[in-house]
Amino acid sequence: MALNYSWLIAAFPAAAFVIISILTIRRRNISAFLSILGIFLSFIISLGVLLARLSNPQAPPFEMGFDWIVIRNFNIQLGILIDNLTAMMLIVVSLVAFLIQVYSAGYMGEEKDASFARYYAYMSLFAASMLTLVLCNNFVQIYITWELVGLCSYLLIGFWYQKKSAADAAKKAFIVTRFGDLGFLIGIIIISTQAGTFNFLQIGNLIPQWAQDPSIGIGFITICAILIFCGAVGKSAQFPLHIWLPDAMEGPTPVSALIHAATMVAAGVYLVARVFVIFHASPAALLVVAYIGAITALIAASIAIVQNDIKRVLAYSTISQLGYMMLALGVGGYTAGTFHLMTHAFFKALLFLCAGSAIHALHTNDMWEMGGLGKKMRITGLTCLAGCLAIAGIPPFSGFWSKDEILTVVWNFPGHGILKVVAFAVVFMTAFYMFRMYYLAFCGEFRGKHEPHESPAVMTIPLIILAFFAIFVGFVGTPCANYFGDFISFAPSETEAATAGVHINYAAMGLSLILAIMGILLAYTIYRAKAISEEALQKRYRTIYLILEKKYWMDEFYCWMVRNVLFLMGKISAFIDRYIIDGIVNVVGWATKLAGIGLRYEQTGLVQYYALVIVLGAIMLMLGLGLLDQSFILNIMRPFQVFLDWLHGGI
Amino acid sequence: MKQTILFYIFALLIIVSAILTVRMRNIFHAGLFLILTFVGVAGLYITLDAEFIAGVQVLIYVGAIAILILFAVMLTQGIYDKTQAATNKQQFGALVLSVILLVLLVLIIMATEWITGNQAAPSISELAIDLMRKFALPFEIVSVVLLAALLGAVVIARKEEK
Amino acid sequence: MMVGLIHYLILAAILFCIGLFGVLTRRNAIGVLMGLELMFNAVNINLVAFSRYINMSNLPGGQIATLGQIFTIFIITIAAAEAVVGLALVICIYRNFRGINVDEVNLMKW
Repeated sequence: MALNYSWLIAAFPAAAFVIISILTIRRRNISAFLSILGIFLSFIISLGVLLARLSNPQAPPFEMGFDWIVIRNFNIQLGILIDNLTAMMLIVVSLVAFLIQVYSAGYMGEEKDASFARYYAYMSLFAASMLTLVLCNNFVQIYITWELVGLCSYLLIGFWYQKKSAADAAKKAFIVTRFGDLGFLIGIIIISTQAGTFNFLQIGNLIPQWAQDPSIGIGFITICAILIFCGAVGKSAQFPLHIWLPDAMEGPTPVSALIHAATMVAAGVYLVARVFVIFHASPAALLVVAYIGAITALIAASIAIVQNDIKRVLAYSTISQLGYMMLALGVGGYTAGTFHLMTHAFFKALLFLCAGSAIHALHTNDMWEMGGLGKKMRITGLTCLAGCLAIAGIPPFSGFWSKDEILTVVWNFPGHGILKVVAFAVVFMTAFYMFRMYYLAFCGEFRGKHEPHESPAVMTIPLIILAFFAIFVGFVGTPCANYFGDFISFAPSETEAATAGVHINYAAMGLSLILAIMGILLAYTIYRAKAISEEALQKRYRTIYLILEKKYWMDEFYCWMVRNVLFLMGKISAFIDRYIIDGIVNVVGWATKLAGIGLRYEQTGLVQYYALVIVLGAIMLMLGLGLLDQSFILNIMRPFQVFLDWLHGGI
Repeated sequence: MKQTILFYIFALLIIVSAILTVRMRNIFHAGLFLILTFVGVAGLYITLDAEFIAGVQVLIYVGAIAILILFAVMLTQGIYDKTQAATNKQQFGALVLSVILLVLLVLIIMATEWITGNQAAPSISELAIDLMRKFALPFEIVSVVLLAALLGAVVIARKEEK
Repeated sequence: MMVGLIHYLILAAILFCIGLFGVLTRRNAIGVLMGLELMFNAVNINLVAFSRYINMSNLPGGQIATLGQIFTIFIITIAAAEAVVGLALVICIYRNFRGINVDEVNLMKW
């Protein structure tokens, strides 16, 4: 019953956006109130949807929609698809968005009125787009909302657009994700042309037939899957399109928390999960997903180790965790990946908001100017500790359960040992850099200028709520009683059966725990106990440090590519356009002009010349008409006959 | 027999005079040869038993048109100018085309089956009766044409009044 | 050989072509008119020869024995009118151009 009203989930924030933009753009309090109210109402209805699904988890997905564009037998719908995955995502998105919007009231409090209202307008627009994305039932709609969330990301990253670095970061985010979206669009077109429809469920039903069909086959499905994955690579900041996410930290911290940690970047993972049917039919595509996820996780974690800006650490951490989720999906762990998506949303949002709290108090992002904040900002410190423990994977925090499930799935995956090595290595690195951050910022002596104070309640209460979830939400997915796994699973799935609570993989659990503790201890040694200093390590491992600091020179590589390859292609295209294509048109015009110049000599102005031409024409006419008439030709011969006879007669 | 000889004499006269008309550098001399051509044609008409037409030919062509041409020649100077060419640049082309046309015409003439019959040539009284009865309308129209031509020539050729 | 219709017709054709040559090549405007008169005369010879030799009795459109010569009279008349107008034009051109070379009168040139 609530399901029939599910369209309201996206409608409330959308209405808030419209009202704020048009009516209340100068009034800060009303704008904030409307926006928060809108997302709160969405949360309530999402709760209703979740309860409806929980009461009947095995029910078929709920779908409703209407035809939007109908051209003969080509049909684009706008519709809603609600299955268990959707229900979970709705809760996560609306709850996290609600908490962050409340938090923003405190964080963005120093903004001017119009700016403040503008922030909430964008927040509402984002909420509406993201919720619609989660509710979509067809490819066209998801692409539209995909671009909408990309737009909101652009608007919010560049919120302080007067700052050049912010404007550049916004552009970079939009353009880099556009590359991914290109592949996504091509994939959509190919698959929907073959299927004759855009609808997820209908395409899903067709996939098994295609796998059997020799003319289509798995190769085609692989291509579609990889192209659709391109969109996820862009949006979820996977290698090689991850370069926009660290720069996106130019935006306000709540924005980073909401969009670039909890929700929008999760859209890529959500997409892969939503159309998992397509990926599942193609082992090759799944491997691509897994490897890219693994590479991303490894590279990002390694770069996070040497970052000095607190938000950058968290940004790279996000990239790394998203890689983890992709790795999980790639080895067939549908439940594992989506579970980690949920827990990550909570603890990453928590971590970002804690960082935001520190930044708000100290007006600096640099961790080396922080220190000892745990004493002065108790709530922030404690909740941050909770978040760090969660992400490092220490039981009983939520991150432990979701990470463990991923590691189990990877462990049980046949072959590809390198994926397993990477997965466990990243556990170690994650623990290390997260606690490096914690010790640098919240422990030891304060290294900054003016004294920090705890943030206001409007900011700390969301922190506490998120910490609660970061600690406890993992319990829905423990291996002993995997409620989450029962609720959200991909059927049929052979890999799932192997991991879904059949036996608990103590080896994986133990290994991950040991690695996490080792990471924490190493961080403690360097940054808390100061037994080894970071500078000494930097000097010792200069080359590695340089590579990591320069982020593997990826940004420089892209600049080089753009300058030399893209612009070169542009120059060639411009040349072809200007000289060849325009040239053809110009030649036609030039030929006409030339013909005109030539033909004008016909008009000599001399009457006798004209008379000559008339006579010529008359002769040609006579010849022509004469030749048409056979008797003429015969008769022409007669004079010659007469002449010849006369000759003979004479002779 | 007589007709044959006379025909060839007059034919020769006509052709030679015509060629000289179109090739003479001196326009006045060309006009004189034109007169000779007209006279030859008149003689040809006599051989064809068309005496009236022959008379008309001499009266009108020689007596009026040719004289008019000579007057025009004298009124517009440049009778004889050695430095200027008598013919323009399309001599060769005109020659070729004329020859082709001639060949074509001769072929056509010889190829056609003419329905000939040896009948008596019409007399002057028959001509007069037909002109005034059957061809009365064209007769009147031609009169009007002459009037128009006369007036037109006067208007075109008179000096502009200041 | 007996002179028949064909001889006259061929003679007329020759005269016509000579006249055509004169029209196309003469520089002096009056020379052009002279060629034109030659062409007219050729046509007249044709017509008179037809009137003498062609058997009209079976031709459609009624039988008018005098047709050829009547036509000739009219042609002579019209030729006179045309020569008059032509020469008037020549005199007018002479007044404006101080010369009657036809190939110098090319104001309609491109």
